[in-house]
Amino acid sequence: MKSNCQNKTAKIYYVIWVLLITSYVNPAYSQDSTSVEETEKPKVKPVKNTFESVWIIDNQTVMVPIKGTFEMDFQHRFGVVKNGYDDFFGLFASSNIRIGANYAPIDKLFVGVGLTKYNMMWDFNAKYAIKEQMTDNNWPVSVTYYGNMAIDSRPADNFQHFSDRLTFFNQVIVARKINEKFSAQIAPSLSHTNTVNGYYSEPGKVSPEREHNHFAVAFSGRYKLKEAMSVLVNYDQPITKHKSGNPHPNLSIGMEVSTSAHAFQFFFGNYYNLSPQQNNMYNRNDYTDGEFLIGFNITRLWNY
Amino acid sequence: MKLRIGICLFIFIVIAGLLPGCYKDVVSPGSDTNGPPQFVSFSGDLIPIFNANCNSSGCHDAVPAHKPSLVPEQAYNALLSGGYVNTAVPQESTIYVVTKTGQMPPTGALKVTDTQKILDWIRNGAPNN
Repeated sequence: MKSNCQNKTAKIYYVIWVLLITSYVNPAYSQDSTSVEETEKPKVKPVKNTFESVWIIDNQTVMVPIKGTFEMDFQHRFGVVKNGYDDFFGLFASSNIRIGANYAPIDKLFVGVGLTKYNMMWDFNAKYAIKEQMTDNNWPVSVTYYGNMAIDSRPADNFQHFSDRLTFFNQVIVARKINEKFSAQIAPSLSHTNTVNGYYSEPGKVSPEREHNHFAVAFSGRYKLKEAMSVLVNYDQPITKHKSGNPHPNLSIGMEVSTSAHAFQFFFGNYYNLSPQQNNMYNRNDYTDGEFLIGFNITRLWNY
Repeated sequence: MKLRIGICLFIFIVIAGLLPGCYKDVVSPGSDTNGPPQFVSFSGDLIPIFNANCNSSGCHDAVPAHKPSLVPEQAYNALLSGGYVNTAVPQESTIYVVTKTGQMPPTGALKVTDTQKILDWIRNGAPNN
């Protein structure tokens, strides 16, 4: 009987002991964390998620995914909307498609390859985050370089030399996440094409119709409506003037729906081509004539 | 270590590819727009261009999803009666403008020598030859 009683008391003591320990431990943790917050300064980090995707409509963003990220792009541009019911607002017209794959082998570097239907163009691209915007505003903007080399892979009878197939694109992208909702970006670019069409400037003399190098600048903005939904705006202004066939500027506006691994962008714009140098040098769609088309970008990220 | 070698190799390939890759070539149109037009046969020169680039299924085929039909037996009548050819001001002919500016074909622009053939055919009076 006595031992039974002792057992019960021991159990009660045990329970009280456990309760005491747990009640002691919990506040100790919270106290620890508050004391850390009070004494340590917040760490200075690069600003995250200036944009949700590597694309903002027709341009690249400053975003470079973290090391080990594999990304796939599915991009689509339909025909111009203004033909109306004839081709159902461009949806049944001939469309342009790009499929791309990118990988980040080290931090800040993103390399990729893609194939575009127009000109059966293969592109090999690289993107490097030169400088990132910091949380303490010590460095106010993110700066990224993007470059690509594209190869027109149509049959050989379209070209005189192999080098005629090559075009290049270089862009410096500067962006700032102004607040949680609004990010803005400016991106000057240089496109180079190895070959241009000629014309007879005088009897027996062929002159180039346009420059081989083309400068342009792109302005882009993103405004978050909800956590996963944003409005995108993009404007591309050509700078170089050519003798003929000057490209038109591109004005585009769209919506973006994103999750941590997906981004879906749906928009109206003027650019039909999916390679930036083709767009910047040869855009035929004039927004003042209402030559807008529907397009979408889908990106999917995997982390390895 | 392997990764670094891979990156160095990638950078080397990019630089090796880019440096000798830059040219400034100019493609001659083949004949002078201000001089006399070259001889162009509609069936011998232009139909092969249409066959290679224009009249595949779903494009400018026999029952065209998009006018005009450019199959060999219909192309001439479709172009002439549809108003795509302007023999008075050849350079403003629709068929020349859309191919010259690269709007058509939507899979990639024609060679400048081909668009020049189209222009010269119109400058010759757009004969059914």
